[in-house]
Formats: sequence, C-alpha cells, structure tokens
Amino acid sequence: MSDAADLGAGPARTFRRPLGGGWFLRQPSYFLYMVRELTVVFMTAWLVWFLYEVWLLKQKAFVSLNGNYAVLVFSVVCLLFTLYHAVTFLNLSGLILRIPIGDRFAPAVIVKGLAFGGLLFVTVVGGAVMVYLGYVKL
Amino acid sequence: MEFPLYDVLIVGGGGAGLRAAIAAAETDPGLKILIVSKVYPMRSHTVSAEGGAAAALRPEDSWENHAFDTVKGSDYISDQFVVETFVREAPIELIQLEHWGCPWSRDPDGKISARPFGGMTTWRTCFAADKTGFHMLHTLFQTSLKYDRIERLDETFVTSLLVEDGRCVGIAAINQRSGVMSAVRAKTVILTTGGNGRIYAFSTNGNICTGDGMALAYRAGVPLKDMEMVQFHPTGLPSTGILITEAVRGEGGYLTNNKGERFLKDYVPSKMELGPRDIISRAEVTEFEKGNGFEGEYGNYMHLDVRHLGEETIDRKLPFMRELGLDYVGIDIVHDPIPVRPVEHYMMGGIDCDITGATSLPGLFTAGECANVGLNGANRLGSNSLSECLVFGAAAGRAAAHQAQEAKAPTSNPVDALLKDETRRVEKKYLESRQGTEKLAEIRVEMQRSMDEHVGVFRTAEGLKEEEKLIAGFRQRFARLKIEDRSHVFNTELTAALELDYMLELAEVMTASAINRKESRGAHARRDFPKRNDEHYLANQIATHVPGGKPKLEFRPVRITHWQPQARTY
Amino acid sequence: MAETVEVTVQRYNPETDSAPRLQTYEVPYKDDWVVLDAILYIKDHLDATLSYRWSCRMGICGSCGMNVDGHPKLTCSAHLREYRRGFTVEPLSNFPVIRDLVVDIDDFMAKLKSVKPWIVRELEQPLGDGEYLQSNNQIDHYRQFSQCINCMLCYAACPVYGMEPEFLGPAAIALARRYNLDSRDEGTVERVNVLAASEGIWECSFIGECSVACPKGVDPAKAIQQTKFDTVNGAIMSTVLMPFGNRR
Repeated sequence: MSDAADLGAGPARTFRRPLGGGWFLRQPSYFLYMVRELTVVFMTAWLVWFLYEVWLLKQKAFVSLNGNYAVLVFSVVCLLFTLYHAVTFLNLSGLILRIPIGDRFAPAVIVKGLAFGGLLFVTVVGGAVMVYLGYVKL
Repeated sequence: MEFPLYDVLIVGGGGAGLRAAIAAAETDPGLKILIVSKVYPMRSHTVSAEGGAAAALRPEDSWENHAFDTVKGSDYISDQFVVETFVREAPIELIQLEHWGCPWSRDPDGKISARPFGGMTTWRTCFAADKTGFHMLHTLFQTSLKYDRIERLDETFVTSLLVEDGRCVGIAAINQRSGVMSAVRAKTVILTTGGNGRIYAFSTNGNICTGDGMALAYRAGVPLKDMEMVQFHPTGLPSTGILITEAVRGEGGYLTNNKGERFLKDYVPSKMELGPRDIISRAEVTEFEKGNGFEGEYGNYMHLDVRHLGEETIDRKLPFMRELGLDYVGIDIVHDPIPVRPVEHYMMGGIDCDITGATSLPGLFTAGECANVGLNGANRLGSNSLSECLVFGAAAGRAAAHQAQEAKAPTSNPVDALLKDETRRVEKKYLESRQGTEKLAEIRVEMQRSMDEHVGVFRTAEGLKEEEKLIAGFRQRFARLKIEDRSHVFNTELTAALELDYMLELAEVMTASAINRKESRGAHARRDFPKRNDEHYLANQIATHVPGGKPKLEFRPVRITHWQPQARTY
Repeated sequence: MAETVEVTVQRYNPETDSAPRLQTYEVPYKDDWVVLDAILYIKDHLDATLSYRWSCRMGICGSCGMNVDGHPKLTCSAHLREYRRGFTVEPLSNFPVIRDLVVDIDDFMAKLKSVKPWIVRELEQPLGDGEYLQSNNQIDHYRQFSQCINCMLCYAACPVYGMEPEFLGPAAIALARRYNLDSRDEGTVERVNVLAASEGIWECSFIGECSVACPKGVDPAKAIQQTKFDTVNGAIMSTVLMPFGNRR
C-alpha cells in the first residue's frame, strides 16, 4: 500500500455482517447445493454397508438380506442421491472439459453426451460383469 | 508535519492517466508515481467508450491522410503540428496496447482489424468488438499493476492544486473513506480527469464527469482553451442518454426520419451516416424543427436502423449495442430500429497545454479529454479520443518524468500552510455553515437543463446571454447552499457540492466563450452567425480566470503547417 | 395520485450508528426506471445523507452493485417494474460496510493484483515488428472471461467467500484464466501458485451462484472448474508424463 494511504486517516469503523448459520435456507439454489453435498453422506453410508457385507461374506457369516425391506429402501434412497450427484456433476462436463478440435473446441452437447455415455457404458459393463461372476442373479 | 512526496502525481485514473503512469514508470523505474482518483480506476469513464481507436496502421493508409481528416474534422482550428505528431504516434500506441493484452478484433490474417468511422476517409478505427474503451481501460489498469512504483490513492477527491512560488507543488484532497483532508507533495502533477458532460442534463457521460481537473487548473491560473466547443454525439438513447456507438453507422446503419428517409442526403451527401458528428447532430435538430422527427416522451428522436445488417453481423460486431437495446429500451436491434437523438458527449475544449502536456503553470501537465492539446479543434472525429488518451497520456507521463528527475522536491512547511487554508475553506463553506437555504440537487438540475437549452447544438445570442444571467444566479444560490450531510465518512453530498462548484465555474467559461466566438465553426453553431469566419476566428479562444470577475477571453491564431482552411463539406 | 413504491434502504453511519438500521422511503414509480433511479431520487429529493457509488448507469463501470431483496444486482440494470410491490436495498453481501450502501473492496483489489493479470512473456516482440498475430477464434477462447467489469456481484453471491474471506474468489480466478488462455501470454506457470493455493481454486465447492449473479455472462464458475481440471492435468503431465518437458 502507498505511504500516502494514511492521509491523516481517522479510524473508519467498517461494519462486518456475519453470514449466519442459516445461509443455505435463504435461496433454493443454496439449499439444493447443500442437498448435493449431503449425497456424500448417503454414498459413504452405502459403501460402508457394502464393505461390511463383504467382510461378513469372508467370515462366512453372510446372511442373504434379499427381501429385507429396510435394506431395499436404504439402497434405493442411496441410489437416488448418487444419481443426483452423478447427473449434476456430469451435466457440467460440457463446460469444464475442453476437447480441442482444430482451432475451436467440441460443443458442450457432445462432451456431455460422451460423459453420460461413459457412465451408461460403465454401468452396463459393470452390471454384466457382476452377473457373469455370479454376484448378481437375474 | 511531513507530507508524502512523489515524483509524478497523476489526478484521474482513466485511459490517459493510467497510460501516463505507465509511461513515467518506464521512463525511470526509480521514480515514485502516484495515481489519485476519486473512483477506483476501472470505474473511469474511459470504460464506456465503445466504437474504437483510430490509427493509420494499415498499409493502404497514411499519416498524411489521417492528419488531413483530423484537421478538416476540426474545422481548421486544430494545431496541425500536434495533429501530425499524433497520427505518427497513434499506430505505435495501439501496438503497445496490443502487446499489453488488449483484445483488438482481428482480420483473417491475424492482424488488427479496422472499421469505417465518421469523417475518416479510410478504414482506420481499430476496435475490440464494441467495447473498445472497456477493454482498453482494463488492459491499462491491469498492466499498471505490474509496476511496483505506481501507487494509488483510490476514492480520494482533489479539492485544490497547491501552488507555491509560481509552481505546482502538489494537491490537497479528501480521503473519502475517512473524510480527512490532507496534502501530497509532488515534483510534477498531471491532470487527466476527463470530461465535464454532467454540466448538461442530457449527456452520455457518467456521474463522475464533472470537469474537476479543468476547474482546478483554471482556478490555479492556467488558461482553458476553446471552451465553447462541446461535441454532441448524434446517437444517444432518448431517455437515458446512453451512447449508441458510431460504430453502428460504421457497420452500415441508416439514420431515418419519420418519413423513412435517410435524410442525411440533404446535409452530408457524400458521407451520409459517416459524416462528422457536429454536422449530423445539426442535421437531426434541423429535421426535428421541420417536423420530420419522431415524437416521444423524452422529446424528438430519429431511427437508427441496422436490421439490414443481419443477426450474425450484429452479434459479432455490435453485441453490446444489442444488450443495451434490450436492457434500456426493450427492443431487439436485429428486428427494431433504435430511437436516437443528439446527446452531449465530449469536450473538445480543455486545459491549454503544449504538445508534451505542459501547461503555463510550471510543474503542471495535462492529457486526455480534460486537456486541449490542439488535436480536435472545433470538432473531434470519432475514435480519435481513445488514441489521444494513449498518445498524449504517454507524452505527458514521459515529460513529467523527465522534469521530475531534475526538479527540486517541494518542502513540507509551505504545503502545510496551503493545506490549512484549503481545509478551512472547505469546512467553512460546506460543513460548518448553518445559514444555507438552497438545495444542491435543485441548483444542479436547473443548471443542467438550462445548459441543454441555451448552450446546445444550436446557440443564439439571446439564449447565451440568458444563460450567462442564469449561471450568475446559480452561483449566488450556490453560495447559500445548505449541506444536509455533516458527516465525514464517505460524504457524497459534500463531493457532489464540490463537483457542482467546479461545474458552475466551467459553465460560466463555456457560456462566455460561446458568446464571444461570433461565428459558426465545428460544433459551435450560432444561428445569428451561421458562417465560418476565418478572417477573425481562425484561432483558439483562451479563457483565463479573473477572481471575482468574468473570464478574460482572447484569441490565439492557429498553427498551420500543411493544410490551408477550405470549405468544410462532405 | 402518482404511483409510488416503497423502498427500504439499509443505512449505516459509523460516526453515529453502532450497527446498520433500515429506513423506508416512498419513491415515485416509473415504468422505465431502474433501482438506481429510485436511489438517486431519494438522495436528490428525500434524504441527501444517503451515500452510494454509481457512475456510468449503463452496466459497464461496475460501481453500483448492491443487494436488492437479498440478491446482488447492478442497480442500474435492475428494473423497477420487477419490484412493483416495494423492495429492500442493502450493501453488497460479504463485504464490510463503510457507510450506507458503500462497501470496502480493498480485499478484492488485492486479490485482483495477486493473480498477475497482465501479459507475461519471456521475450517481448519489438513494437516495430507489429502486433502479435491472433485470430478471432483465439480471442473466443478467452473472450468470455475478459468481460468482467469488477462489479463483485459474484463475491456477494458466493457463500464460500462469505464464510472464508481468504478465498481468492470468482472474478480474480476468471481473470487469471483470461490471461492463461490468451495466446500471447506465457504466464500460466507464474499464476499456478496463487491459483492452486488452498485459498485459491480448491476453496471453491462449485455452488455456481457466482455465474448466476454475473451481469456480464462471464461464467466464473466455469472458469474455476476449468482451472481445476487444467491444474490437475498440468500437475500430472509435469510430474508423471513429462517431468523434463517444456513448462509453459
């Protein structure tokens, strides 16, 4: 800062306004953002449960929970949150990923298409592998 | 009390001021440079310039051509030596700005492009889409951040130049954050405070364009030059005065009256919409008087039509205009004609200075719109002003830097005394007085409206004399001003009052100068003296402050090098 | 009886107030007025002590940003007809208030400078050789990010900046990217330290409100996420794939 900055300046009390804890309730977009952040909790919870089931399998203490409605509901809720996270994330791929084509860049629509296509591909292939290996019975 | 000392102190942080600062820093990296501005630099009014900056860059162009266009455009009272220098320097400045990152629009070969512009016989107006001033200002400001030696005092309002022993030794200014007035010593001061459009009610200028530097210099005894020469831009939006760039006409737009005619065929047949601004503005007003204008809530207007250009061209070359149309008039210029009317835009007049920006007060320099270096004479060609800021901002920066290398540092004691006087003056006049009865806004609005009416596109002896009386009345009322805001922190009523004080001073000079030039030349059009009179008035009018009295006015013959005055027809 | 609209304004005078307070005014309603016109009316006719910043009134100088009904807006482009039933004007969020509607932007000015927003080159081409060649397509790469008018609506809209004032912020990062993408610039490496610092791009959790608030379509959120992607890419390239390669 310049020496001249304190031109005999007296104290000017600026007033700081705190953001406040309820800031995310002020606007729908802020609230949806927090929901998006919340999806991590559900994804983590489901992953922990899944690892627990794998551990049980190793202990040979696995009990099939097919038909257990609590687990089913839990899984569906987690799936919905995960999809919400994935869709909002991949939607932005068109903006963020810049694929150069000559002097210009690929249009956002194409990049998004590739991103969602990629998700679909991994889902289908992953599911096929699971079926093939017998982890999932159709 | 020790006051801070700088080698080069620049008042005003717009195109010219920032360019001057960078030029001074590059001349001598050891110099201490300070930019004092009443706003943050990116708010300076350079930011609103749209159309472009002219320079004879292209191989098919020539300095001589650019110079002649400028001299003819000035109606032959520009200083031809200054013009010749300007047209040689302008190309270098535009390249320099490009090197600093300015996003000039390009031709297919990657070189800087150019568009046609009013009064220019060839395409030499370089542009950055239709936001040339914005890009120029931000490029200059961001580049200025590179230099550690360039310091800034933002939101600091200069109330007076400090003069000691016939030399400018610094400034007195109010720090708006604290409200405290203090002084800064400087070996050289450069005034780059821009125009004074807010003297008029209908102007493209922003709130900050109040002629501060012109008034500061004037009161310090420095003469002002050609103060009667006010440019009215032909195409402003009728309600707000927002500028619709000349580039619209450059790209091929048509001006039509209420009969759908391109009426300029009767006024500027060979150039049509690309005629010089003064002639087109007068054409519009004449058409209004004939009843050929559209009638609206805010007065008469004409149509500026670009529908034939097509959406693609408009989005590529005039995107900002499309936004402005949608935002402020609710029209899409792709489908609707734009309502426009003449609007105050630029001050050709300003602080008298030589080609290096030096004024009659040792230590004081000036550049840009607040200066009158002799480039624009009685009428400025569009796109010469942005180039002017660069060329003469750089010139003043270098000249001030060189002078500062030799000059003695002003001492603090005399500055202290001057500051005390100045602080007393401001406090007594504005903050302490309880006797006042007049409201600031009322005086300001009445002044603005009367200037619009009497010192506008067409002037008459009666109108000007009436204005003279009115201004005297306004100044008396101003002496009885009542400031409601007595606080110190960010008191914008105080700064508005100081600005009004400057504007009233300048309005007096402008009106007196207009009365005294008994001819029509360039932008100064007298109904009672409709012809140009080279015998008596091939000269610049110099106005000097007489404390307590009317300005002293005299004429100084113009310097002609190559081009003898001819009839100015297009 | 002329139509009026009720305008509530946050006032604060540090010399007399310990905290901001609200004051209400009755302002004429005109269909083609903007919020700034209402504020100008208050100062000219009702209360000359109201302080605020404004200049160009055409959305290019960036002075007049304020919160209108809780949302950061350029008051010179906020039309009164969208607030027919009355509205509240407050200083821009997340900035300390100096007086009334005037906020302290020194933090922003410092951040602007910190990203080195100028052309960085090892060798400057002499002026006599003319301009650096650049195509309009190349300008398109960075054009959007060059439109910032420094109005700071994006900082006001960003809760991260509200909670963590050290965050570099949308406009500064977008400006850094503008230069990084400029074909004439070679300064990406120089800007990485500031951008990839913990208060830089990684502070951003992509709420996206900055881009919503931006009146010039700069899309700073896009700039930040692109910078994140490029920075990670660059880090991988330089450490894993091309450790001795050209750094640019």
